[in-house]
Amino acid sequence: MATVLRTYEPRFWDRFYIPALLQGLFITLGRIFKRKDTIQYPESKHVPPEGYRGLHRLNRHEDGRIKCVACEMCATACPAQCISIESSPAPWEEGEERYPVKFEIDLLRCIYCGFCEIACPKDAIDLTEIYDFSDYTRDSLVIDEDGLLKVGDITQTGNVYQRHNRGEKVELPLAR
Amino acid sequence: MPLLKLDDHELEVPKGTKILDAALKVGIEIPHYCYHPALSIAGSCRMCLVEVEGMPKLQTACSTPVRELPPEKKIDGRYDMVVHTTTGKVTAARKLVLEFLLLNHPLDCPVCDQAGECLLQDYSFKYGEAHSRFVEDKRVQPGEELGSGVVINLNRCILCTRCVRFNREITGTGELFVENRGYHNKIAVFDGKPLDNPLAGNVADICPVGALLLKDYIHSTRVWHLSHTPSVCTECSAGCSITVDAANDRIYRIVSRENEQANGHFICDTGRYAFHTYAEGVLTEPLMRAKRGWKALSWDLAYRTVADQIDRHGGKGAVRALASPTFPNESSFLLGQLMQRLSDKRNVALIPVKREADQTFPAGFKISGDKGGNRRGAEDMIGKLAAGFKSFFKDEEGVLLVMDADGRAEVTADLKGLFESSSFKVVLASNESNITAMADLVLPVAGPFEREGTVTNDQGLVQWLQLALERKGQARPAWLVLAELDRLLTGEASLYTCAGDVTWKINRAISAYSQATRFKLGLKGQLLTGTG
Repeated sequence: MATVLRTYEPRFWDRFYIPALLQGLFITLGRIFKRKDTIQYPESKHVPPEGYRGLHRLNRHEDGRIKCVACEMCATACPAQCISIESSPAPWEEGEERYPVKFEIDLLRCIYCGFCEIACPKDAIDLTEIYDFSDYTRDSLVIDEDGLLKVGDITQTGNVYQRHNRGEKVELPLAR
Repeated sequence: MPLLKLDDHELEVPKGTKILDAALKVGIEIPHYCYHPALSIAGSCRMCLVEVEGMPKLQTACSTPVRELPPEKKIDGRYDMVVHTTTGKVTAARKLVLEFLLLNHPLDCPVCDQAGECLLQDYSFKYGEAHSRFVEDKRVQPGEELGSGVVINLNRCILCTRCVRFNREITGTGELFVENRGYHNKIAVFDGKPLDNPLAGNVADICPVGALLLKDYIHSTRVWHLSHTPSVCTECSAGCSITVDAANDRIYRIVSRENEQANGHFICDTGRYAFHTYAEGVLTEPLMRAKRGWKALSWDLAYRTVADQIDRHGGKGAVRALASPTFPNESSFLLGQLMQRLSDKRNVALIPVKREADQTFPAGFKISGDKGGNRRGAEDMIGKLAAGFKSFFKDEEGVLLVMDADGRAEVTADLKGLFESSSFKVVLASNESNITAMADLVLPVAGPFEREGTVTNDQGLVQWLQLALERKGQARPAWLVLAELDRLLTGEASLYTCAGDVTWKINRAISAYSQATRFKLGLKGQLLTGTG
C-alpha cells in the first residue's frame, strides 16, 4: 500500500486559475521570437545525425560491379533473418568469382540493428540515412538487389535529405 | 604393449601405432592437414608437431611410431614414450606453421566455398595468430580445371598432397602430381590426361582447404546453411554411407560418410551426383491414364480405383506384383505380405534393373554393377524371386502392381510382355520413368532421399535410410501406400504409424533381421545375423 505523504492543495490565488493561464501565455509569447523547431515535412525533411541506421544500400566497385560476393555473412549475422541471398559464379572474368543473383531484404522484418554492415567483409552493405520509405503492401517493402544498388547510387553523393532541403531533386527509392 | 603417456592420458597401444592415431583414439585434438586415415602418411603439413620426451626437436605426430623401451630404460620407470601436445614449444610451433601455410593463402574466405568447414579457418582460430608478418606480394596462380567436374584454386592449396595420394592409392589412376619444385610447387595433371576416374569427386571431400572444388556445388550456398543428414546411397548394391547436405528443401551436395563396413571413407561419383536425376519429373499427385494424357485423382479415389479394377479383372487371385530392389525393406516387406494375403500363388517378383560390370579399385573400393541398391533386402523380404518371372507369370489378365526402380528399371521383352498382358497396371513411383509411361494408374511415393527405412547392401550390412527432404506434393511413403492398400483390400494389415513400426515387424518376422532394429542400426548399420 502506498502511503500518501503530501497532496496538492490549491492555495487562495491558485483557485482563480488566472496566474497559471498567464504564465502559459507568456511561454507561448516568448516562443514567437525564437527559432522554429517544426519541420514542414515533406517540403523540407529532417536530416538525421551521422551514423543513423535507415534503409540499406549495396555498393559498387568503380567499374560498376557489385561489391557483394554473396558470402552471406550479413544473412548469417542478421538477428531478424530478413536477408535472403542466392549466389552464383560471377559472369565477369576479372575480380571476385562469386556474386549474388538474388539479394532481398524484407524491410518490414528488419530491425535496423546494423549487424549486416558490421559483418560485411567487403564493405558491400551499408545502412543509409533514408528513413521515409513506406508503402501500402508487404510485397513492395521487400527490396531486391536492383533496388538496393539504386539506393547505393543515390546515397553515394552526400546526405539525401540535406540535398533535398537545398532544393536538389532527389528521387527516393520506394517513397511515394 | 608399450605404455604411452599422452598429456594426462596413459594408454597401452600396439608397438608402431602412430602418435596421432593414439591421440584420436582418446580424443586429444592434434591439428593436422595431410594425415588422412585412409591414405598413406606424408608428414608434409607439419601441423601435428608434438613434443616427445627425449627427442631434441618436435616430431610430427602422424608419422612418429610409439616405441617400446627395455624395462630398465623406461621413463619414470613405467612409460615407453611421453608425449606433450600442449606445451609452449608446441603451441609456438603451431603458430609458426600456420603462419607459413597462410603466407600465400589468399584469405578469400567470403568467396571460398570451404568457409565454414575449412581446417585452415578452424585451426587459425584455435591455434593461430591473428596477424601475418608477411608483407610481400602473395603468389597468385590461375585456377585450373582438372576434369571430372573438379576445379582447383591453386592459391588456396597448402600442398598437403591428400589428393595426390588418393589418386595413387585409392583409385590407382594417379592423374594428380606435384609439379615444379619449392616455391613453384603446385598440384597439376599431366598434359592431355585430365582427372578421369569414377571416384574423382572425393578429392574435393578430402581437401582440407578450399583448393579442390566441385563444379557442381561451387558458389551455390554456404555450408552452415546446410542440414547434414546421415543416410545411405542406394544407387548400387554397395550401399555406401553418405551425408545428404540439403537446405531450402533442395539437395545441394552429397558427401561421403565413413563406414568401414561399406566402402570406407569414399563414395563414387554416380552416387555423388545422383540426386540431380530425382529433381526432375517429380510426381506429386495420383495420376490416372485418361483418353488424352493424365487425370489427377485424390488418394481415396486412387485406392478405390485399385480395388475396383481388382474386382473387375480376375479378382484378388489374379493380382501380380513387381517389387523394387531400390526401395527400402519396409516397402518390399509390406508388398510381400499384401500379396501373400491376396492369394497363395507365387505372385511377386523383382523388377529387372540395369546391371553393369563391377568396378574394383586397388584399395578395395568397389562399385557394384548391380544398380538395384537394395536387391538383397528385397529378396530377403519377399523370397528369392529375382531369377526372372517368365516361369511363373503367365500371360493372363489381372491387375499388375509395380514398384518403380527409380528410373533404373530395364524394360526387357519379358517385362514388356507382362505389362501388355496385364489389364490394369498400378505403378508406385517418385519420378516419371520408363515404367510410369506404361502405367494406367501412377501412385506418387516418396523419392530416394525422402524415404525412411532399412536397406541391405550386398555384404549383408543393414543400414538406416534417413529422410533428408520433405515429400513433394501429395506423395506418400511407399510403405504407407502399401499398408493402406492392404487394409482396403484384405482388412488384415496392422496399423503402422511410421517406417520404424514396419522395421519392428520385420525384426520379428525374419530371423536374419532380428538384430537389425532401428536402435541397433545407429549410423554405421548392423550386419545381418549369420553373415560377416
